[in-house]
Amino acid sequence: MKKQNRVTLVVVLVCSLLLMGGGLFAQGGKEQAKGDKIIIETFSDLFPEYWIEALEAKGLSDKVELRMVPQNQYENKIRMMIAGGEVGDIICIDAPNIGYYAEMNALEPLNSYWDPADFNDLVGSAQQAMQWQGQIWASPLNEANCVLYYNKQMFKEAGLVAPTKLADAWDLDQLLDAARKLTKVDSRGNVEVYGLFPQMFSVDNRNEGMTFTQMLFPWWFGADIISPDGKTVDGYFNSPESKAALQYYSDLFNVYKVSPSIAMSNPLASGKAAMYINGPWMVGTWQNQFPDFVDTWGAMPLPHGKAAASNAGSWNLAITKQSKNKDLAWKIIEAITSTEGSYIYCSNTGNLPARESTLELSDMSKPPYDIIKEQLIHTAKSRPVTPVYPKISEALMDAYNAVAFGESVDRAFNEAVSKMNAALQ
Amino acid sequence: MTHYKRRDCIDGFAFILPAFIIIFTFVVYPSLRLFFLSFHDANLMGGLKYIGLKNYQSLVASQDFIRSFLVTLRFMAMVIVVQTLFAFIGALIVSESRRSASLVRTIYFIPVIISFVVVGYLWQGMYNHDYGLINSLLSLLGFKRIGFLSDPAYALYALTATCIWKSWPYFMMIFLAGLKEIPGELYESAMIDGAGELRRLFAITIPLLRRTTLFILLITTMDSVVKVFTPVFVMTSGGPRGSTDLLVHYAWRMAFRFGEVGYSSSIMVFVFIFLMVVSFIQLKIGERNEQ
Repeated sequence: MKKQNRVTLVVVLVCSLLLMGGGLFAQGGKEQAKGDKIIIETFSDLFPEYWIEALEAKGLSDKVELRMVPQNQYENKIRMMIAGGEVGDIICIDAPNIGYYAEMNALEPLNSYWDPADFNDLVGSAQQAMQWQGQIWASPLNEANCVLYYNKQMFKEAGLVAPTKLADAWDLDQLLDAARKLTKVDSRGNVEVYGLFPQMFSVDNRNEGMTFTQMLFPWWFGADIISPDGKTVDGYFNSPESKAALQYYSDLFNVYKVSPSIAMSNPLASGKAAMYINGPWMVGTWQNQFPDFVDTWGAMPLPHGKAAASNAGSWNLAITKQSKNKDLAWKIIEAITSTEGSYIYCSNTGNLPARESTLELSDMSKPPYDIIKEQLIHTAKSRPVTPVYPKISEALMDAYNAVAFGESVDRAFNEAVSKMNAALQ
Repeated sequence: MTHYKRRDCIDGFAFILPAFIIIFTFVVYPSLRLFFLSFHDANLMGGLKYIGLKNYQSLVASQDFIRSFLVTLRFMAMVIVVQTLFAFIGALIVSESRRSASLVRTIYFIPVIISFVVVGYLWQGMYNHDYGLINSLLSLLGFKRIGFLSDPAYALYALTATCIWKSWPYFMMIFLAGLKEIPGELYESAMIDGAGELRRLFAITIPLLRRTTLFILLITTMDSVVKVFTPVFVMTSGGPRGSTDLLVHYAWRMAFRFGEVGYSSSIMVFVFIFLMVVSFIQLKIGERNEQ
């Protein structure tokens, strides 16, 4: 090789290595420069812009940097950042995953920071969701709760009257009777309107929204999901009550055919379903996407079986173990999730406050909020907090989805029990 | 070694060094790490404990893994047979058409250059139960609407059709290149001898395309097992009822949803061994036919 070519080759190699190294070091330097700010890992659907007003009021807005991650990549990205030691000071966590992150030693316990009297201001379900193994791990941004939405027109035609108070909520037999009356079949046997859409999305979906609503059924039948020590589902999900709940759900699809196993989007607003279990965020969706439907929907309390239960648990803020300025991180969490902070956040986003004091400040007089307020105080339950929650959630959802598609209840139930117990061991 | 040869050696190594660094960093090291992790209880967020063959024991005992493997086998069989047939027939048709051949090839090739994410969303829309093109047509013709992606009985077929639609033109091009290599004199001689089209196809075209076909089968086998994560992720997330939960998606779920990196690694090691065995069998059959 000619000397000139050798020199060129060496120059190219050295330049390439410098560029690669430079890129890496440049990124490291950038991270270093942010050291004096508290980084919050979040995503746009949580509307973090509404935290700024509360932070400004406490003079903390210039101490915070929001690092946005697309929502569908959020969980994966956070886990990889924690593994790589690159996670920010504060992360957003969905309530049932708190145990998982705590078990992985990724979070700082908040007991020493949080005044117990202030913690007791949280609604019961939120208090329950924030704790794992006797420690507090996060502070709730908001709470969530579902109601039974219905089509007023269809109710009128079927001669049905919806209850408006929690004390008058239907039982599961009344729910089934109403669903049968509301289901309409055409002359060729095709279902035109399904009486009840009993979960957040169609049963071909596999996401937390499904578990969030399907977990209501075992609760209504008086079953729970896992034991208080978090070691087994025997006697809890694995109980005759829980199996009866799965059977009831299966019958909605396969025996009475009042619920659809086909994919469906916007079931209530499109007129394809007459009743729909979902959360208060639907109000905004209907206002924006289906303005003609706004006067057609109504809301009633969730039904009850042996037990009354409504679902709760939403997104929360937690301090990471890797944070170098945990005191400042707590001040920021405190500002965002305090009574004033959560009032600003919830009144702007339409979310439900997780604090009783914020609930008092908020206008909860109209449906579905009047019903939700009652449910949050009297019937709200949070999903189990356990390090293996993702597996518990998927096993439950798979069983419920499977029976909706015609799988035998025995088989789906046994499979779910065995997966849950295997995960807990 | 003379001074001249040593210098040549150093030059040679210098030239391959950048490629070596990239391949080692992104292929060799991750592969070795995969084997290493498969013998450990490894979590995505840290923690590593040697557990020997326990991950592999869990693998064979897992109903989900067995279901996922069977789904992968069904998917692989459908893709190999239908896609290869489409590609072969397409190549025969395109090679015959003299006029506007390059235009036809370009149009056929469009799906290949579209990203799988775009293709996934496009077909998801077409399969939609309420407003999708296919169901609208079915409804117009008086048939019942089908939940292509929401019914466990149809989802795998719908996914397979999408994957074949995207990939068959690429393999058609490879068959076309193979067809061009066959000397025209052979066909002329056969025609003089009175061989009809079918006879020419079975006596000349297919035997002389054996190596091309073997290459296509090997690549299709690997693609149908490994390069299918995106369409599953975009279109079905492995559902409904696990009917499209192919092994790569199952491994992803275990690693990134449940954080079980060790178990997930054992799935991918299994995939590696499985592909090695299938490829070896294919090569042996190819060699035997060659003889």
